[in-house]
Amino acid sequence: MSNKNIDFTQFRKGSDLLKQGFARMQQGGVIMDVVNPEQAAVAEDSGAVAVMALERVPADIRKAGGVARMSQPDMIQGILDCTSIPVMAKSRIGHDGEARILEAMGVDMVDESEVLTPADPYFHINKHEYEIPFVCGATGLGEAARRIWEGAAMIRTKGEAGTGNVVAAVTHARLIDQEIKQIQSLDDNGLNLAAEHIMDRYKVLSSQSLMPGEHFNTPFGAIDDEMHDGIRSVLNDVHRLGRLPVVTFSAGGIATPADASLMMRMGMDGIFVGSGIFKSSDPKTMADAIVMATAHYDEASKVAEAMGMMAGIPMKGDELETLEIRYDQRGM
Amino acid sequence: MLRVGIAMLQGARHEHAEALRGAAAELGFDLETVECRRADHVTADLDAMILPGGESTTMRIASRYESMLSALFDWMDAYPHKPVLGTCAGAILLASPGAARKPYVGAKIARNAWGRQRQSFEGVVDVVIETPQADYKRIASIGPDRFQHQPLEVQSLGADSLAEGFPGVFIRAPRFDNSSVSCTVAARLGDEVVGVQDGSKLGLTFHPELTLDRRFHRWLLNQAKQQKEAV
Repeated sequence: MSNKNIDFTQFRKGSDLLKQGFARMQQGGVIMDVVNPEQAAVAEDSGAVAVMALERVPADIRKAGGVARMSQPDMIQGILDCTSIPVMAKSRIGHDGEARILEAMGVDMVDESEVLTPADPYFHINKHEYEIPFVCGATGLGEAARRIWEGAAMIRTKGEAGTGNVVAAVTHARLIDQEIKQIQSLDDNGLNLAAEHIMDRYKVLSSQSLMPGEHFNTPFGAIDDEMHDGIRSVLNDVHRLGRLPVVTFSAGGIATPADASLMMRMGMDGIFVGSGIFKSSDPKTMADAIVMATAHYDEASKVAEAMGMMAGIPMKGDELETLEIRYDQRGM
Repeated sequence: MLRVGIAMLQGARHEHAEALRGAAAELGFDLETVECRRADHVTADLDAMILPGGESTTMRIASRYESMLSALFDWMDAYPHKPVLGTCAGAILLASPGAARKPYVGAKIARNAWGRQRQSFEGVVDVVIETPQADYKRIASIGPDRFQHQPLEVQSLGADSLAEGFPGVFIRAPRFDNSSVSCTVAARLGDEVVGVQDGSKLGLTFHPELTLDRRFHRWLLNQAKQQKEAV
């Protein structure tokens, strides 16, 4: 290419528009968990919009137990080097150290994920301070509103990762939808009360203290009128739009093309598939089939065709009652 | 009444629908947007087409079950005078349609040529081609479409620079090879070509649908109207 170099110092980078715009380009697509460059190639060839680079898929994280951390940089770098679609990677909740490494490595989006063991039991990362966008999980509207206010450019339902059971993804999508409609029923006063309620969670640290005195601070600043206005402005967007004001994907337990089409029918903008692809007996075909079912979710005959493509069997799947650890309870 | 198709391959599609509705309101045109999800949605009565931004690899692969892309290219071949706007991944499809088809714009293009998301940027773009002038009009958001999807609204960011330059939003953008451009330059960023026009086809490496400046969408509607009246 003969183009001259451009002086980037005159341009704005890392703005909300660029972060949320990146998420918008993912709409209608499937983001796949991959653990090595070979899997990343399968994902890219099947038409994934992005890959999530991690050391183990959630089903194996469950099996292994112990503390789950950010993946090794050389493993992530290996996938960055060979993948032309966006590469995302997970940091622990509240782990600024890990997220800064991912940013420095040039991953396209950080997933501040409950699938890894949370580093901070009180707070998430202040995502406004980063140049790259974040996606965060949510089980309800309050959580989603906090994450958006903290700077998340994209929300995904938490679901219950690594189970192959779609029920938690449906639960969270239903609850968020219900709460959006509740928000839409509120007047100005009601919206202020809802904002107060959502802010209460930020007081969790001071409520742990046995000391006298008052100090309400968070990584995002003081719990004050400014925070109230910020949360309120997210609620205003929800009230006006009848949806979350950022791209919203479904995640956690999606194991078949029919699951993907179900979540798209529930109004999700796209799909994360973790263990569902590379824990099936025929990952290549499963990847193709889930992409097809997501693109044509509204046509049952296409989804049926996608289901029919699967020569192998989907991952086994677990009843949520049998789980030792519920990831969806982490990091509210 | 103008009927404009939006290729619903993947990516920022509703954003274009909103921008088109806004542009139609600004020009006082009657508009119907048509979501082209299947090959049989790409019909002869469409007056113009938008190829949105997203992941071009995904678009090529995901459309294979429906041959959506070949339907779109067949439509462009059958109606060479009908205007088409391709943004980002859409511009890649115009410049390198692949599968032994001739490029629809005379310029070579490279994917992700600025780098990854960290290198994404906003910059003020000079619009070189003539676009129809109109005052900005605020429109109500589209309601949920027939697939229960409530689209996101286009952001008000960028509205502050409505005056002269165009707010260019470059997200993992492709890049034209400047020396390869054999058609009209439509937009520049400094010395860099960021938009090309080849007859009825306009390819932009940035995302006008993410801003409230709708002059490229007005260009598309105006071309469609002129073309329709000429026939």
